[in-house]
Amino acid sequence: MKRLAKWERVCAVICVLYLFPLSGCGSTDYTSLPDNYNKETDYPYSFFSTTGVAIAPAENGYYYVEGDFLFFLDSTSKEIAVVCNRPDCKHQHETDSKEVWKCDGYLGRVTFCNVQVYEDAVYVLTNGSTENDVLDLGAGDKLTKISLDGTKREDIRPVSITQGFTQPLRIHRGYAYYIESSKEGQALYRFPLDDIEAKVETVYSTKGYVSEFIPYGNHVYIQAEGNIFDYSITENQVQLLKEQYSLGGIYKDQLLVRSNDQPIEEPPTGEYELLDRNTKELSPFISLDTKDGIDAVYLDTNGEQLFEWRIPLADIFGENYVENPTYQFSVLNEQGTIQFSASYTLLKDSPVSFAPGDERFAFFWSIDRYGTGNIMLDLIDKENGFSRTNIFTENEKVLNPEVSSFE
Amino acid sequence: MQFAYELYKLVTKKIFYLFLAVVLVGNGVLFFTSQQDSVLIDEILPRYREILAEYEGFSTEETIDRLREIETKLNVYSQITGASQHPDEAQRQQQFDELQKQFPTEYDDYVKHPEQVKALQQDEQAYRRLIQEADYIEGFDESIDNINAQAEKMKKISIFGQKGTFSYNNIMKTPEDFAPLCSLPLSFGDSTALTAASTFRITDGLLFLFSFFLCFLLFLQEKENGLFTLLRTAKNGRTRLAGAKLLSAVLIVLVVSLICYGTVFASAAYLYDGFGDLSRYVQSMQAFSRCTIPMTVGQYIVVFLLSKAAAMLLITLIFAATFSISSSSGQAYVLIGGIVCVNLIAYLLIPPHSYLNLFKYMNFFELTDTYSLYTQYQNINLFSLPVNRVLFSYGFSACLAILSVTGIFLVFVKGVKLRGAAFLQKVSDSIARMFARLRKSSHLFSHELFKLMIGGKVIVLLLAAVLFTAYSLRQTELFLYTPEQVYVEYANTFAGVLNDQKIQYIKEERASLDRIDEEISALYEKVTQGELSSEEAAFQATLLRNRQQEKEEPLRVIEKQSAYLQTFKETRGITGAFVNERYTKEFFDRPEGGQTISILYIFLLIFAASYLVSYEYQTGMVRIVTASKHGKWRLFFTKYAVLFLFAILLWAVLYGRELIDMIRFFPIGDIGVPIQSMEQFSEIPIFMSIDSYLCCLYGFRLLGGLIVCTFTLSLSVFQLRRAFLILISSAVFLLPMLFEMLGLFSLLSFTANGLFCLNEISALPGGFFTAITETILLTLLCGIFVWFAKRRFCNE
Repeated sequence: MKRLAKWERVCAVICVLYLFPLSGCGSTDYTSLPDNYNKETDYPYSFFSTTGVAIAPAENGYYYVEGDFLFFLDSTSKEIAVVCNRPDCKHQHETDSKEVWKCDGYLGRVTFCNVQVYEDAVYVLTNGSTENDVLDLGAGDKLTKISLDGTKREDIRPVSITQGFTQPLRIHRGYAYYIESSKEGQALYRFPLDDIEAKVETVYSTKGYVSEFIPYGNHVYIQAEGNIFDYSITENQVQLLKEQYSLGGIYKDQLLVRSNDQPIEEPPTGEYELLDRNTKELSPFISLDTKDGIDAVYLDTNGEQLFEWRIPLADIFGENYVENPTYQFSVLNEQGTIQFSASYTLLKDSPVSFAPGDERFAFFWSIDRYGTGNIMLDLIDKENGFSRTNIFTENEKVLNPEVSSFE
Repeated sequence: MQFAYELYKLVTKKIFYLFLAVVLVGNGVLFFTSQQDSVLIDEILPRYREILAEYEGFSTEETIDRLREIETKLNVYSQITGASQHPDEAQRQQQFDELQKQFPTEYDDYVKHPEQVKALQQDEQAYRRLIQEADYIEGFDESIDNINAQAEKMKKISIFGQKGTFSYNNIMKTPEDFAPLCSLPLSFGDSTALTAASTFRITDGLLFLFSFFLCFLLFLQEKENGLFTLLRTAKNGRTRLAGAKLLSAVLIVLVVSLICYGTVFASAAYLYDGFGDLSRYVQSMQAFSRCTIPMTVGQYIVVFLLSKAAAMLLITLIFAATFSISSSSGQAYVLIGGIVCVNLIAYLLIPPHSYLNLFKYMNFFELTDTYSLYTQYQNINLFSLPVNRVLFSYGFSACLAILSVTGIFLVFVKGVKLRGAAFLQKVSDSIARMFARLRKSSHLFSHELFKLMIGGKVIVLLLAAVLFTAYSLRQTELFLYTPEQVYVEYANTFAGVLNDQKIQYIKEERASLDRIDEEISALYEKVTQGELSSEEAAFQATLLRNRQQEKEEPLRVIEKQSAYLQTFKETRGITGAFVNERYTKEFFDRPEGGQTISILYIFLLIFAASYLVSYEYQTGMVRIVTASKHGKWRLFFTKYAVLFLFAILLWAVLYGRELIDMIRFFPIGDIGVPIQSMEQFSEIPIFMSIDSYLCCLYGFRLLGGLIVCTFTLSLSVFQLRRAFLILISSAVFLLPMLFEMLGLFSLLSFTANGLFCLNEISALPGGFFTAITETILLTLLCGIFVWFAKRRFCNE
């Protein structure tokens, strides 16, 4: 057999090296996963709430995005720190605008706070530079994958999210889902994480608004225009699940729902029902006493526990409006019996958010917008009598520093 | 003895002195030209020094206390001045009363001693610099303590606290590294001179070229002369010869580097009146707050100079190794171009957080960034061990230096050389035989073309350029964020000449958005009156809010565009048109893309142009070809024609990518509208449509390429070695473009940069005419140069 010339051998090696990656390392098959929660691949639905806190569970702690920075809360020491392993870095306290971007935990002037731990990496929205924002329209957000210690980053793809609240993007079984304006209204979109060139798919669109969605199992449950829709991931189809109902969360593998078939000027009903995901049957679940419409009541769930928020309507609407209203926070059992209760007084005209969390902690977020400008995150320790501890307080301006240059 | 002789060979060459003079003089001139802030130099800094001299007898703490008093006074005076401009008299008086109550002494001074107040306010900028230094010095110890505290806190965080990981090791190492800075005695002093000298990178570029030139003389010239083989056979012609050459190169580069960088420091000292107290620690200056080596200003200057010299030595060794292993200047040029390209890509394009970030710190651009090396504290992750960036860079450099030296010795001792040339030569011969069979003609043009393309291996470059262009063609649609999509829709609606109808439409659109709040209120009013259900009202309100949110920002951009066009019409009399700025900016406002292609274009042209005549001189064929029929002016101009053809083909291939991408993915629309429709080009003084501008843009680039070819080819007629040709042409055309691209120095108005950077120069006042003037001047100069070259070539 004729011996190959040296250059021919070199070419052959190069060809083998080039073709080897194509030899069959395909993407993960998510369609064979069961139709319930799978920790490694699924959106952590227990952290879902209609208000939203940019916090995501991880091993030994939680990642938290506030302002332009990524933090980590250690669940043992309850210490919270910017995800930057440089003790010499001033993080959010850096005053030199040319140095801010060097902090590993700095995410840029992103439009929304978003964080999720997925397949041993942290996914956040970042905004690297103004280079892409040629028209100064606040463009430039992208989905970025960060290593767990914050030292390595990889930009996945640009993402346009202009409407929504905290945690607008949710990763579930290989896809990232988010709500955004469409040509005539709003739509729920998705794109695959492992194919950066794949086009964004429209999962569901409407003329009105898409207010919420929860990915769970092989489905994505969508709240749009007062109705609940069910998108089947495996069948790639959207069906109307329930009309005139609102989505409260996932409770023991069923949907926690509430009827919104009442006049808008009346407070929501206290009747919560469970919607079986397979049979689509409704069953009564819990009835909260609204005191004949005096109180507004809301229920959040982490899948196992129920959390009630209660406030007199008159305190937040109408003539007896109170600047610092007080919410009653309670933990209920399935029968609606209060197991724990505490009062939470809000700061003047300032929003609050709640994340039901996991079996250990829940999170309460607030901002003193018209006073100190401080953002506060409180930990609610479920294993310690639901005690509330403030673990993070920082000024809003400090968390959104001026930056004069990027890398 | 051999070492002395190698030195002797260098110092007896006139061109060596010429080049050295250019480097030394150019270095000083460019430094002075770059220091433009006359207010700082002539007014603020002298006053700063005078004020600092007043505090000479005081300790740092006492100086800080006095400066705090001045700071309070300045703040109060500023508040009083601000209050006095309040339109409402009652409010004004109230503010005065409050200030008087809070700061009675300062208020009293303001009222009773206005001349003192005025004098203090005139020196405000100088005082602010001192106060800023005071803030920094006061907080320094606390910042070091914070590092310890932060490290302790971070150890409790699980993502950092795992032993054996890089994060944990880094947390342990950082306080240790900063420990020597605890309780360091800091003192006042300006840092402007030191930072100006330390951050001036032009010297690096000049010395880069000098090293190239020096290594050619020492390591390649003898190969091109054919003497290398002879030398290797002589006694001491191997190891000792290599050693002598290396030592000569090292010594000369060391001396010249120290002189050049020393000149920069001396110039800075002259310009800014010294570096202050040389015995104060550099950590006294905020720019050096992260420098973990406690050293004085004097020590820093010495360390800096030696570090820069070491960086230049590494580059020299790499060049020496490259020249040693190459068999021709062209080969060495391409190799060095490739090495520079790889280093530049690693240095500029790899983000610090990338998974490949190790390579970012393994290149000689990183090493020459000496200021950053010492002032930025950073540990590199080397197999989970934190290695200080300075140590890593110098360690890597030492390894590279050892490899280079080993390579040089291998070449001299074993005669190792690159074999690529032999393969290409075989291919060239095969093509030559094929052409000879196809066409038995010795037409001058085709023969010169063959010489360039096949003999000079320029066809390989052209093919590489085609592959590069094909590979870098955009494959995906331009990603438009939602507001950009809305803007593009608006822009498509308004496309074309701005007229009253469009202005009216924009106003109506704005009015309709402004009305949305009222419309929403009206909806709820209807609900109250029972005309509409609350659900329907809520739905309609949501739709309205969505619309408002979606269109607000894009409409603002449209309004800004419209306002600009209207103002432009009023002031300049040119009726502009609405263009899609998202797309036009993508095409016209990406300077780095155009500059990178231009650098590649110039690089390849220099390679090609330097071959065509110098090869004939080198082989002695020039006497034969010039003695033949058509061997004078016809041959002379044929060479230019052939080179121009290559320049045109290369221009089309490299710059065509931009146009193809634009047509496919972001078409700029009607190209018949005035170019001044884009605010970026508002400075262009004459009416010009976009298509005319595009013709100018690409025409100037082509002309620039032809000028590069003409210059290099004409120079080669004067019997310069190919390496010198490459060096001189690179210095004239390539280096300024590199400085432009790296943002080190803008030479748009003084070099051929203006021809390749028309978008950038047109944005400057008078820039377009400057580009035209440059073009005419350069063309004239080249024309004169060609005339002289022709006379020489034709023995006139």
